[in-house]
Amino acid sequence: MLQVTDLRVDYGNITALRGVSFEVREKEIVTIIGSNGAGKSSTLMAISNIARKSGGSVHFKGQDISSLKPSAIVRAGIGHVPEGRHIFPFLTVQENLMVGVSGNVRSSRATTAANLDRVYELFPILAERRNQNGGTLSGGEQQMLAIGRGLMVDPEMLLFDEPSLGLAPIIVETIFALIQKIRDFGKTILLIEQNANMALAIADRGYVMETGNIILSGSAKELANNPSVASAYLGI
Amino acid sequence: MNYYLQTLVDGIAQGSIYALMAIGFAMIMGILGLVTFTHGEVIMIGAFAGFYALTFLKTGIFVALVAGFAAAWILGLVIELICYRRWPKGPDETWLITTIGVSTVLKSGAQIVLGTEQQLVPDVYTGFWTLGGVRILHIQVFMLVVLFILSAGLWLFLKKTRTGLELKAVSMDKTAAALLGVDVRRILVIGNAIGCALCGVSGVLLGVYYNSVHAVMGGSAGLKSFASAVLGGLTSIPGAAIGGILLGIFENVGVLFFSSGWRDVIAFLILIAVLLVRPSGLLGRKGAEKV
Repeated sequence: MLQVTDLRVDYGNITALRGVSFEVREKEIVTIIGSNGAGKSSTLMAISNIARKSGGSVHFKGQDISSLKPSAIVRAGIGHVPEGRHIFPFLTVQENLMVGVSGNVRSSRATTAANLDRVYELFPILAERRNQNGGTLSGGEQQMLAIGRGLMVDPEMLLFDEPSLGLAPIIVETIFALIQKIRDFGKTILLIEQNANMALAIADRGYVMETGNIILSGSAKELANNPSVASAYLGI
Repeated sequence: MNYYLQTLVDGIAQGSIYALMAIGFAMIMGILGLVTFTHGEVIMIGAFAGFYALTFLKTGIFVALVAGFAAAWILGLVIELICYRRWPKGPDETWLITTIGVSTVLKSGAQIVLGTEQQLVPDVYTGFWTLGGVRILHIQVFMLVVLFILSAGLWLFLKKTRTGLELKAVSMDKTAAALLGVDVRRILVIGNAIGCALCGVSGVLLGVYYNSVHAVMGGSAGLKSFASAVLGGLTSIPGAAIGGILLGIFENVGVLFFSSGWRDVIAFLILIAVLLVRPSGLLGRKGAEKV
């Protein structure tokens, strides 16, 4: 479904990605794990065309989306829940969610209402706080709001950038259970994580990144059992 | 006593013009995340558009306001093309420099094309009411009504429409907005044009209220709109409106106690004093964002 070929990103003199290639098939959960600065976020930012690519291409459902505007990529069907959540602090929870409708190509009054209901059903706490400003939510609630916004876009594929970052372990488990649930809605998921344990537990396949390269790939099970992965990323 | 009330009335009237400019300024500032230096010149072009409509086309004040609005809207589109769109990847300072450049070109161009003399703007609404010894000009009430209608319209637009919601989202976080499918470029164009158009209207009012337009009137007008917006909290739209009205009152009260030469000095001294106490302005938002 998503085909990334030889992706390169430079920030000035610093090379963040040195030719990254991978693919995500329909209805899979694929994870990219790796330590800080390995280039995981840059990969997602380059797919969404927020970071400028210095080489390589991204194909989505056979179509070259490498040079589309970020908003057009979203409308083509790739949602992106960014690292650090990026909540609009002075919009209410509901307004935050409604911004996501901009990226929804199939939006109508009825689908918007149905999507909103679905988000509130998944995250009852958001329904409770719908008229509260986004900036007043706790970290975990903000992450739920960020995911909820992604669901309002209702894309075929969702990119998650470190959804566990800075959250209490109990909330991390909730978030990961949700990601599995979202796959059950028929979405394809690309998940970027430092928390390799959790990510490999829910993923079908995974890639390991280091200093701008993919150094390992395989099924989630293989990676979890790989001794070098275990020592470097699983803390075993 | 009447004397003081009269000053207050005049201050509010003058402040309503500043409020309109400041709302436009706050809007542009919020959406770009940067100060623009073309603001005064946009006000000047709006004022001249209104002036030409009134004198040469002999239209009424309403058409003049629409002319100012439209001219400034179009100028806003041109400014976006020249100042912002061509330099998307550069450092932030690029946009400051390009707006300074365009402002200079507009000011000098206006002096060449429109002349360096003050032009006399014909009177509209010369009548007045007297209320307990205080004189309220019809034009003063008219300006307040224009301010009220335009702010209410803007408020409704921001509150009720999808584009309005996108404008607010882009002003808070461009990356997040883009990742939710908002066409950030389109929103920048629209937000900048609306901000400029409001300034155009304020320019027409400025010309009509003081009966004159001038090619270099933009300098002081731009400064006043900046000051009003800073007073209100820089990107807060209601704050800008309040800041504008207050600045108008400050100026007139200053004249009351000192001579009229001190008008700007008093106004800006009070502005500095307010900012010493509340650095984020009256309705400014402190960074409440969670990381």
